[in-house]
Amino acid sequence: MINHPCDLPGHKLTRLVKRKELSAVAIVDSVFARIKSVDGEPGKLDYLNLTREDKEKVHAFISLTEDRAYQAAERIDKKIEGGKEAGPMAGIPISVKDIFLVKGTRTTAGSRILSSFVAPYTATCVEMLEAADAIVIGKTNLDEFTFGSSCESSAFKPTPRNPWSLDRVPGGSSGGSAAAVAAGEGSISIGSDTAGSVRQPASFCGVVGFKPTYGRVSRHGLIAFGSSLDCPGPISNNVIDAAIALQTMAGKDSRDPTTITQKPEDYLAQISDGVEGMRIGISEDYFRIIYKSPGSNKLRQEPISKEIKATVENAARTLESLGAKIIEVNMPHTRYGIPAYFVISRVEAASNLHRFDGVKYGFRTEDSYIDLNEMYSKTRAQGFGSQPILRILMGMYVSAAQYSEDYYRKALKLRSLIRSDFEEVFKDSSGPQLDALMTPTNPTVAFPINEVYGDSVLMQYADQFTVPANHAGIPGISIPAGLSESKLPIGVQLLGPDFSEETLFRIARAHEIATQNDPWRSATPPAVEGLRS
Amino acid sequence: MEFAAIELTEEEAIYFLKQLNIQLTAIHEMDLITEIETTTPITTHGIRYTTMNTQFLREDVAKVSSYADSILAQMPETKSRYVVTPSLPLRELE
Repeated sequence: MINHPCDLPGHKLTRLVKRKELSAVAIVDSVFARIKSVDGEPGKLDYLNLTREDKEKVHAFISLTEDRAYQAAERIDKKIEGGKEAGPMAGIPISVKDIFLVKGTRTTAGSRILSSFVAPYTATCVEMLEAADAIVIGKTNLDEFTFGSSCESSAFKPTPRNPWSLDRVPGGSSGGSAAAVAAGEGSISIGSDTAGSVRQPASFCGVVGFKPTYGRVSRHGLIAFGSSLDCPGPISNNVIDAAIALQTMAGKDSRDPTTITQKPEDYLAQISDGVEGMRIGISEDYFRIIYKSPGSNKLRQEPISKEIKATVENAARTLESLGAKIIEVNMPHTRYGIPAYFVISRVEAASNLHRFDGVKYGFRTEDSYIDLNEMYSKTRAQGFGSQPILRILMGMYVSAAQYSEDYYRKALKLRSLIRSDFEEVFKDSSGPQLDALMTPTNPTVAFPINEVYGDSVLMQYADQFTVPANHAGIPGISIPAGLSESKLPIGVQLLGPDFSEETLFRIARAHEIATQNDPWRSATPPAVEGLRS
Repeated sequence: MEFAAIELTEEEAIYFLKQLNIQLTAIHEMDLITEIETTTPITTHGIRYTTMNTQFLREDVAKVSSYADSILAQMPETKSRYVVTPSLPLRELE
């Protein structure tokens, strides 16, 4: 008898289901029981006054897809009973960030302007996961249109809370996804990463988050933010589950011409082969942060917290003890990642957001208007929250003809310099020929709710160490590597050359195996205390 | 505001102006970098697309979409399967 299947790794659930030792329906029962225990009210519009009980729940979801989940589970159980081969993700419960279209489900992007939109088709990556017999259990809350690093900008309240400390944010924009996985509300969640939106919340919530190489996973059915930066990626409780999910999602899609034709490698074949002989870099440029002081316009440069730096160094020592060589390198353009991102992402966002106009789909103002222009202005003012509006205004400003050279073209050139930092240190270069670069995922641990929200610049700097990978298009993974003194998760990031997913999984798995008996690994998020067997 | 097609109250405009100015301060950090030259290439996607990894363009063939009914059903206003828009503003041609 398995008491809480929702707490087992996804790949173990598939094994049990295929051996008929556990039914897919029992897994779904367990997951929805967990959601009922810990999640509380799903996010909804105009929910302004949070109760005390609301503040003690996770609120990872905007909507649950119970009918879809049970139908899929019954289909899988029937298939196995009938002696047919089930898919490689048979019975694994997954949630999907509410920025992906899933046919027949409400797909809101966390915005009032899409609050009643029902998806007419399913995103390619979700379609591939369901074809592999993964079970979609619901849609998770997020920052509005993914614009944020804390989930607080969602129009759907209560916004998600961090299972490790319910008065702190889970990160963002895939914060609902990371919180759900950390709380046992599904084994895997599919997020999207434009500046760190998979890796940063994974780090804040003590789980694994993977951003693949740009073009490795289709963006078809992902509501676009920064089209040259967006990458769908999995969040999971362990490295093997992330590898299985990415293996399933990866590949060419004729509906997204930016997906590359090169076939994905087998991420699982050598995942446990260790790191002997690998060359892993660390850089002082990722141990200092540049941020705007609260209450002033001045930028300050300071070292990151000692405990985060020590966690990265400790992870590096662990890999060194397993036979990897640790090499110090310079990454001089790291600090320009956020300024360049402020320009590029805003230009792309402003362009992408023009489709939301109250004509073709979504919300239209109920106020009176005299003509089309007035309808546009009222609909967009009432339908968008402050973060989309800020992005539209900034995007239009920096791409205006008279400023484009100073801002947009300069940012795209800076993007080349950030990419060249990586090309000069990775394999096949004349430099240190690294297999991967190890960095902190975030400059801080999860911050308290309401502490940063409203300051759009300070919030953006939460992505300082993750955004370079989006500029460069390279893959990256955040893995849990310890707890702070205040018992909050600290994540370590591994970045690799284009299409080095297999190597990153291998390094991450080596670290996971080597630290499996560390005391921090047995800690439980307080939100699920007493619920695990 | 006209190009952005967003109506703002005065109070909202003050908040957005403040945030935009702070963001511009951060953006101007780009001015500190000296290596950017006129010959520095731009990067648009990070990874390099080559003939080895890029998809050929699809043939331009019309296909009947199975989504049409579902999409039409969600439009704010339709008439005989056409989108209805509010009237266009009248402007004198110069």
